[in-house]
Amino acid sequence: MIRIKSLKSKILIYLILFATIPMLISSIMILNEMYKTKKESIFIRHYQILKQVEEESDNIVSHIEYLAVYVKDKYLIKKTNLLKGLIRVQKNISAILILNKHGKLINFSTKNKSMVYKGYDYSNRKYFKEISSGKETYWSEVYLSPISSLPSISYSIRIDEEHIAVLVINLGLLNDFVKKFKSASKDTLVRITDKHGVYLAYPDKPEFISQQKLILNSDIYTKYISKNYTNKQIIYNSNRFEKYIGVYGTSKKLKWNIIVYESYDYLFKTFNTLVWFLVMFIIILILISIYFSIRFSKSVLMPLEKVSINMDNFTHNKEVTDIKDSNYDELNKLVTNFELMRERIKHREDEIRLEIEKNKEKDIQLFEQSKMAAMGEMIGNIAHQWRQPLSVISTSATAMLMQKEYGILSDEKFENSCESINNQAQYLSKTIDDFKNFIKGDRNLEEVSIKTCIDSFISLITPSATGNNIKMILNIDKNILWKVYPNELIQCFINIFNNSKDAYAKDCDNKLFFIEVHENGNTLDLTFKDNAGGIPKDVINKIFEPYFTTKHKSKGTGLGLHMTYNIITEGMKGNISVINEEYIYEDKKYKGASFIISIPKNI
Amino acid sequence: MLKYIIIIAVVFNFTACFKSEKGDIQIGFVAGLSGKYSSLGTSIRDGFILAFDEIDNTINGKNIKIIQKDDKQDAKEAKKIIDNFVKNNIKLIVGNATSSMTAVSFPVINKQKDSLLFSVTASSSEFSNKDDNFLRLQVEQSEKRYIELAKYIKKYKYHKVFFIYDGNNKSYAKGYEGFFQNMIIKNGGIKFVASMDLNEPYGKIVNKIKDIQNDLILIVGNSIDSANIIQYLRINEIKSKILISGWSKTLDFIENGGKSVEGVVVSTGYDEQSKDKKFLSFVKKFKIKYGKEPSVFAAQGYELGQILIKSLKQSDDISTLKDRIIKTKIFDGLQGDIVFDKYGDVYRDYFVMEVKNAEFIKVK
Repeated sequence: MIRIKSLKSKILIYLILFATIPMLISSIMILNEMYKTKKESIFIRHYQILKQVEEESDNIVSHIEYLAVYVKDKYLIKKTNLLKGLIRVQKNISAILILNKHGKLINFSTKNKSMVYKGYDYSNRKYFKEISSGKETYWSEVYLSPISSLPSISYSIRIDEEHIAVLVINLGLLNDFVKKFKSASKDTLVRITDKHGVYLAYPDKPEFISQQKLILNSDIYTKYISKNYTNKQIIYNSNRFEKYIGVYGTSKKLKWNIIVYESYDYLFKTFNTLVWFLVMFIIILILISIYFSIRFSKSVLMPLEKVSINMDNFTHNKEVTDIKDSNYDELNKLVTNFELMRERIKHREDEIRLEIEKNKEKDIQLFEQSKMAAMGEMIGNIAHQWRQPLSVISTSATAMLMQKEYGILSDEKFENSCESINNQAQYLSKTIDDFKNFIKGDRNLEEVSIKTCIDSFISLITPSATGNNIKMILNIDKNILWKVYPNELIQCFINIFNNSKDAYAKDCDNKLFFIEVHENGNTLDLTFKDNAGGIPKDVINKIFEPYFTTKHKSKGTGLGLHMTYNIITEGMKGNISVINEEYIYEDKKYKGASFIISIPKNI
Repeated sequence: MLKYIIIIAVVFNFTACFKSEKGDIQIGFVAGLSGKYSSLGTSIRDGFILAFDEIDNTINGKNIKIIQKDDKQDAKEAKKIIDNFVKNNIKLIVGNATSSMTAVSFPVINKQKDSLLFSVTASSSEFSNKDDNFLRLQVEQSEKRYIELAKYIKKYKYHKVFFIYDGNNKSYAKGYEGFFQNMIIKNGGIKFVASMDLNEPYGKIVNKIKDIQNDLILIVGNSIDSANIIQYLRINEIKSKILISGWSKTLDFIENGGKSVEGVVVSTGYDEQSKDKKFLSFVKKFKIKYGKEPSVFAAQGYELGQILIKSLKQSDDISTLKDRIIKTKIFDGLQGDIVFDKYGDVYRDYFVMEVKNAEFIKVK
């Protein structure tokens, strides 16, 4: 089922939607593009830093490996002086230990005072075990150094079969190195962890290094590092719910995790302000659009609505108000044209009313004409019909007179003659009554016996039927009572009969006229059928039109069937149709016109 | 229309804020995480974090946030941290690692109505048999704990014990000075022949040891200090049998001590050589995660993590957590069941281990 909606609200909604949605979509797209561009530029900057730190980290590692090789080459020559000299000049080395082949500390040099003494046994340290097992060099994991009590990493190298050098790396140096990379908010940009997630450099939180803190229990680790999401932009939260943006990668040599990051909120502060202003601007624009949409819709739709109301009022014969001029030419034209149309319709209505009245009068005249014509014909028929009874009466009277003169008038003959005269007079009287009823012209809707109507009709046309040798075959349900205009209905039957009668060929010696009347639920079905050969196809659709006739002017006016049509369809709200029908009657095939009338119960 | 948008935005924002506060379970973690005392704290932390990593730091859809703090084995720092936890409404605190630091946090937590301090390693008897806001996974200091050790000493006829302790963890050292000394006396021994603070210069300690006749040196200190002093004693030709406290029973004690710590004995409730499937599985997982062997303290940290996970799964209401743990009573440990008494203390059999070929081996 189609839901009827208000055009006004629909247009208003569409106006607002069309005014706001494109603006919203384009704004969102612009903001999205701006956001993407901003992110992209941040990523490029972070990525460059990442690559630089990766390279530098590898350089530091390479440098320490180079120093270890130097110690290997020179230790046996320079011994303590070499260690002291290196510790003095190499900031990234916090201690150099020389172990003998049993793991005993035989020489060392440290940057700061320590609780380490020559003779200490480090044979259980992993670096000693690794070198003893045959490796030439070994990078340790982060461990708590007993020398400095600080987390450290070390690089060990075999000097010869008797000696092993262990270079303990100052993680502070790595921290100092990454300190150089500052963000716009003056925070450092870089932090480094080893491959197990232990912090090696974190200038903002140096305690993370001293505590050997791990990155494992953090958003960045679970979301990205554990999934090896390297060299791509990442956004994560800190444990304090601060949002960060950055990129992470791994160094080539020791697979350190290098994270370049910046505060998301800080970086996007300006952007967010811009977005805020833009959003506000868009909201204002949208509000303005909505305001103008409403105004525009009002200025356009108000006159339309008034036209619509006026049309409605005009349709329902209510008072029509004046519509003020609109600012729009098209609307003014519409209003003017509506007014013009209204005037013309009114004028046309008056004309039609006049025409209808004229037509009504004309119809009455036509009906009267038709009736008079029928009457004339009927009178002719009656006159013809009366001849025989009058002749019988006259013959009976004359016979009685002659019999009396000759004295042969018996009582029995007298009574028979009188009875015959009386019968004929009664017959004539009935004919007169029927005729009188017919011409009386009362137009009352009344419940009558259809059989009686048919009988009256038969009575009226019998002279004509007899004179034309037309055999009437009736098939009528008895006791049908129906509300009709009896006289008009009889007139219709007469017209149909006359149409058939005139259609018979002169030489036809077996003229049949069938009348069937049946009650069919709420309709009364009447069929009048002849065997006059049917109505030609080219005229069958015109026979109910006024003044249409195929007969000679002396025979027909062309109004009979038209009147019949009007009486049935308009007077009694029924239907009348005509078809050509072939049928068999008493084993003989016939063809003729069949008029089918149906009249509803409640007219 | 705008009015509704604003209302919706405000409501949404409010619920979002509400959610972020209510959606997480915050656990404070405090221990000595830096410097020479950090070996114990970082070991506990690593084991503890591993337990939560296994469940993706999520319990019943809520994120677990572990806030780590370093007390640096400093009472002022420990006080500041515990006050800060209380101020920030962190109800569940794991720590401290040493008894001295726990003694700082203990009274603060006990003033709170619905907070809980859960220490992995604090063993001081100061916290025993109290219906308080404290739980621990370490067996309290008591004479009972030293029965096996006293037997060992008696068996090998060690009479003269030279006691070296770390003055920064007196609460713990007291247990040895009290319960252990009493047990020795009960077993026919005599009082410690001397005692010295480990923080004194090593030379001074060595001289005193040389001056006073002894056959057993008891060292109560962290792993680095214990290993260093033992190395120093050995290079100074001091051959006495050395007994260390469970505090220094970490892998870096052996790594830092080298061959000098061979033959050192320790009284402990955990066996690194345990073949318990759960323990072996933990060791494997720990090695994968951190690339190193776990110490017993890491194992205890892991056990504590699992106890908390099991209990927090039932409910994250910290006010009833202790009662629920005590009610559950028995938890699966890595080396046998962990059984809590009605005060929240645990009991475990103690035995003697000796360093042999760079490993702690159970003395039969």
